[in-house]
Amino acid sequence: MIEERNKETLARAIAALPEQSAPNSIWASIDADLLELEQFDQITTAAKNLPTRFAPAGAWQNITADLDNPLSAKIRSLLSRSNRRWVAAAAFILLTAGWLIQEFTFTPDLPVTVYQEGEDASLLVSDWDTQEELIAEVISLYRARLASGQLHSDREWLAELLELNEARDELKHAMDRLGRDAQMIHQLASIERERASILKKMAQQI
Amino acid sequence: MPITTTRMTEQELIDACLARDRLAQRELYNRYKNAMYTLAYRVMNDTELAQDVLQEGFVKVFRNLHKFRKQSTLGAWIKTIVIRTALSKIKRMPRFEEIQEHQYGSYVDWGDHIHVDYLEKAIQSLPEGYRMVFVLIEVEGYSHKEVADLLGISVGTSKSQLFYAKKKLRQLINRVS
Repeated sequence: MIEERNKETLARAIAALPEQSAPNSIWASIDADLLELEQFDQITTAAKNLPTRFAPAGAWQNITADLDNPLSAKIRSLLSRSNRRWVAAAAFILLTAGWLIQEFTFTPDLPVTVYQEGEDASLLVSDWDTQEELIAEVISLYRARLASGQLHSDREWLAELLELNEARDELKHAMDRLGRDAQMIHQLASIERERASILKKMAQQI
Repeated sequence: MPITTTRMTEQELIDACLARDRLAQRELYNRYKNAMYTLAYRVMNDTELAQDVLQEGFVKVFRNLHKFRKQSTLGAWIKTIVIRTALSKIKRMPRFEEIQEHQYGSYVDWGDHIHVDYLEKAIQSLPEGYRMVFVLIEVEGYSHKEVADLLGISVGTSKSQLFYAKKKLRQLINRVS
């Protein structure tokens, strides 16, 4: 046993312990809690006393019919009062969707015309080759005039034109062999401009 | 002529409370409020928590008054509700360790006199587990069996907790005095 001496001293002191005073505000909180709970009770009581509805007279016949024919029961279940709105809504959506698909997918028969463009061989020839025959004719005429003494000046134009022709031929050969690049095309264009300038002067002389 | 609630006997007050007479409920609360608040405060050691316990406890009292079977006094029944409410509010219950009686080793001598204020302060300074057991057994008069049931501990644990509570209390009283 636990040994205690002068236990009555402790008992006297405990009996004399002061009592605490409960704050006055607590009753208001208890009152509010009780009021709220009583209101819940009233709702619960009212919910228990809600009126009873009587089953429709024909319900039992429908039940026995469903028990005898499960398939018709399923169909009736689908078309039950609570489902009717949804079935009607689903039918409306399906019909509307079908009409919209037909309206925008199926167009009336229209004649289809197909035209195939033919190949034009002249378009495939590089434009710098088109006038070579004319140039050759100008050179021939110019030489003839020089030989006949009808022209007195500028054999140099002819020589320069021939040099430009050779340069042009070499550049074209290099383009065929190595492929075209921007620099070669630029050089070729420059040669062509010079040739055109000389040919213009030679033609004026002729 | 209706009798005022202050003159009602306890049974008349109970009957009126069961009829949801708010004045009777208030009178019942007034009769027990300080005792229950003091108990709640000693268990919780916090005034605000004690107020919460008092409020919640009395709402339970009025809601469950129809279950009161008069196997104890009304005061004892309300006290049990308040203690259970207080214990439910303690988030982490203290660890109660059982110690064999032969290990106790020493005795407690209370001397000739204990100053009440010192005792009050010493009780408040006790560790939570010691305080609960000491208050319930020595102040509120519960048995070790009842305390064991309330706290979910064994009777032996309750006894050893009380012994160490008293030793600690004696030390604290000596210190403050």
